[in-house]
Parts: sequence; structure tokens; C-alpha cells
Amino acid sequence: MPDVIAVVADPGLATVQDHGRRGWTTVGVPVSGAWHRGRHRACVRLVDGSDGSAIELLAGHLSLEFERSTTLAVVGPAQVQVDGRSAPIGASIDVVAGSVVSVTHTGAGPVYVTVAGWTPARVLGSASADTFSGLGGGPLARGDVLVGDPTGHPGAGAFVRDDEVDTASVRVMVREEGDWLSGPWHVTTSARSGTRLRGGRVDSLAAMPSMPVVVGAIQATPDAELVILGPDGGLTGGYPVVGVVVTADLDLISVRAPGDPVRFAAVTVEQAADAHRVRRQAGAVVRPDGLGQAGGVVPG
Amino acid sequence: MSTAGWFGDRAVLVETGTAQERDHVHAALTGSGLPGSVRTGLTAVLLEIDTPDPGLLDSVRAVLADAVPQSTSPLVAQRTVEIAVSYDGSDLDQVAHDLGVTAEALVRAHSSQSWRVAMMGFAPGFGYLEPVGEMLVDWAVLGRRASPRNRVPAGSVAVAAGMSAVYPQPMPGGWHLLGSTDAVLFDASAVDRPSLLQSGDTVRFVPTVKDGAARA
Repeated sequence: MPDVIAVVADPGLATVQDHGRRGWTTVGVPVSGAWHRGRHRACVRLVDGSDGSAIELLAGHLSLEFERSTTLAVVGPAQVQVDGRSAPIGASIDVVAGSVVSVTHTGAGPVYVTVAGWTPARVLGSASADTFSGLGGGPLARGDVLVGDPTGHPGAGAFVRDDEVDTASVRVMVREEGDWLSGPWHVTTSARSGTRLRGGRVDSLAAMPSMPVVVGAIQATPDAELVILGPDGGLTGGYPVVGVVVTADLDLISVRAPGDPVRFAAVTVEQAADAHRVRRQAGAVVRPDGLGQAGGVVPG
Repeated sequence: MSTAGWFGDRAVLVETGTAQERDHVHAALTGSGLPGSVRTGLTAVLLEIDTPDPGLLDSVRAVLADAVPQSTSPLVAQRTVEIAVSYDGSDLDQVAHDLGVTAEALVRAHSSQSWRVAMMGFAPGFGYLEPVGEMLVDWAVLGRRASPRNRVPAGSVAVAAGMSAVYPQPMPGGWHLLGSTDAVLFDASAVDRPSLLQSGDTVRFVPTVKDGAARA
């Protein structure tokens, strides 16, 4: 029997997300999954025995009451307290039975929380909540229980290097040349379904017959708005797609808040692939014993 | 003639002229052995992979060069899915009026029509069905409802914009409701085949008073 490991006392704007529901897009099932892949990857690496599941907190406050001793980690712009005492971001944190952990969202973009041994129920191979179709469950609610086997997954004090790569521009592969590329744009709304931009000029383009779309596709609406599709943005669309954000820069979209500027830079597929390789090398887990995956940076 | 182009760094979009060409490209890419998933649009096919690969576009073009000059017959055997329908939809009479036929003639037209799954999307298991072959009414005359419903029940059989569909789950919708089915369009616990429909399937609607689904 699995043990109860934590109870959600204050859910904030939180869903369960993992690496995504892969392999079912052909029958209309979106991939969903963590919106900020770099932070998510760093978070689950900090906790041995993680199955990739994490709580994605987009705003507000999350409080967990632990009924068993275990290890957890938090990555992203947040303040963390264990029984009222500050705890570090980007490090594995051991908690004892009876501890109350509070996580307060303080900055831009998603915060991830993962707990050793936590194994949420999976639907089609993933625990990710799709906020549109409802697959994988809705937002966390007060009283929700995170269950699993909490034993035997010590984190050994691992921590992650800062993996934030924030460039001035969001790199894109262009499909329709035009004024939209030069902007300037700013964010009006931000959600897992999509990020809306206004302020720049985009040529009026004919509507398309409904076509497949991907995460990061930049749609131009008839009233000069750009919509960058997020992980819950759906699989089909009828608006013209003027470009697609490169994989390496998708995380940048998740940290843009309303009012933030967005500038685009056109790149080739070779540049995009290089950027992806560089991005994947960031954020490696480092252990004090030097056995981590990347050398170098040990915070003082 | 189809044209292939980058759709971001992990996907190639092939824009096609006709539905037949789309189905041909879909079959060619699905059977090509290339990694990734292949999805259809109304006049497009998308191959999406997990990791950026600068060689993907050339790989797709090579598949198309081999496949397109062949005969226009489908490369894979098409499945036919039969869906039993009670034609009790709340928009049946209005749609019949808009098309200038009786409700009985509309039911006959919808259930004698051969439909093909052009595209999956909108929701898990939701297939966009386009009419194939002879049509007793001109489905393209219909637009969407002037005001969408906030909640369309699961199993609703609907038409709009020259297409038909079955709602797999309750959700908002602007299509005209002709009837309902007990068929399960999407079952997330059926990991071998969660969706009743997939792109390229032929769909026939079978009028019934007792709901249920059969597959030929």
C-alpha cells in the first residue's frame, strides 16, 4: 500500500506536470507537460527516484503537510519555508514527518516542486494535467493527497546550477516574412494555452484551412494580435502561422508576464539545433562529492 | 503538388492541394519509417519529432519524391468505422430547413454519406469528417451556429462548415446537432487504442433507435 506523503493545504494556481503525454497527438491528445522544461528538468533531477512528476505553480502559494519523512526540491522564482524556516531553491531538502512546507510564487514563470517517491496516477503514460481537455485531472485543490512510496530516496544534498538562459530576443524560424519580425511586441496575457502579444504590425493574412499546429507556433489573428501557442494550446488551428519559436527558447515564453516586451530574431534550423544542444547542457545537477554531471559551479 | 517546409525546428509541414493528395502524403510519411508522429490537417500533413534535426526536411522531401508519382490509390488499407446514431438532435429541423429538405431526407443524406476522417484535434478523439463521393445535400452550405452552445453533450453527432463530427466529451461547441450516439469516441484507459477514429478512416452513420457502435 502506498503511504500518504503530503496533503495540499493551499493549492495556489497549481497543476501536476511531467515530461508530457507523448505519442497520442495523432488522435487529438495534446502533449501538455511542464511549461518551463529547463526548470522542470532541474527539479526532478534533484530528487532521486522521481518519476518526472512535479507540481507546476504559476501563481500564489502552495502548502504541503508531510505525513512521512522524505525529500523534496523547489526550482523557480519562489520563497520556501519548512516549518517557518527558510529553505533553499534548487537544492534537495530533507523533511521529517509532520513538517509543513510552504512555497510562495515570487517572480516570473512557473515554479516546480517535486517530492521523492511521489507517483501520481498516469493517464496515457503521463500525469500531466491538460487544462483544456481535462485529461490528467484539474488544478490541485485543498485537501488533495500526494501519494507514493516515500522510502529510500535521499537527495544527498544535490543542487542545480542556475539554468536560466535569458537572451534579449526570442529566436524563431520564420514562415511568413513581414513586419511582425521587427515588432515591438508586448505580452497582454499569459497562460498554458498561449501567450498573446500586441503592439507590433503584422500583415493581414488569409485564414487557413484548419491545420496541425505545434507548441511555439506564432499565430497572427485578423486584428493584429500574435498568439504563441503553449503546451495546452491545442493541436489544430486556422490562423496563419507566421513563425515558430525554436525549441531552445520555448522556456523564455513561459517567463514573460503581461507588459513584458518580446523581440524576435530569425534563425536557421542549424542555429536552432545548436541552441537546443547548448540549452540541454545547462542546469546540470551537481553534488558536493563531485560526482555530478557537470563540473564547476558550487555555490558558496 | 505538395510543398514541404519547416514548421519550427522539430516539424515539417507538407501543404497539399486536394484531400486525396493529403491522404496519400499521410500514408507515405506514416509508412516511411521516419521517426516522429504524423498528423493531418484539411489540406496539410505535419511530421513532428522530439529533438531538432536539420536533416528532417530533406528526409521528408525524399519520401515525397518516392511516393507522389505513384498511383493515386491509398497506400494503406482504410478502416471503416460504423457509428449508430439516434437522429434526435435539437438542430435537425432547423438544418433541414436551411438545406431545403425534409428532416427525413436530411437523415437519409447524412446516413448514406460516406465520410472520411480528415483531421483529429480540438479535443482527444474528435475527428473532423469530410464528405466523400456523392452527396444528397450540399453540406458546404451550412456554417456554424450563430451562437455556440456552452456545453454540447458527449456523443452528439453534428455538422458544420461542410463537415460532420461526434463530440467525444462534453464541451462548448458551435456545430449543428443532428443526433446522438452511445459509441465511445475516446477512452483514455484503453491504451492500445484510446480513440475510435484516426485520420484516414471512413465513417458511416447508421440510423438506429437503439444506440450502440459497430465496426466493420
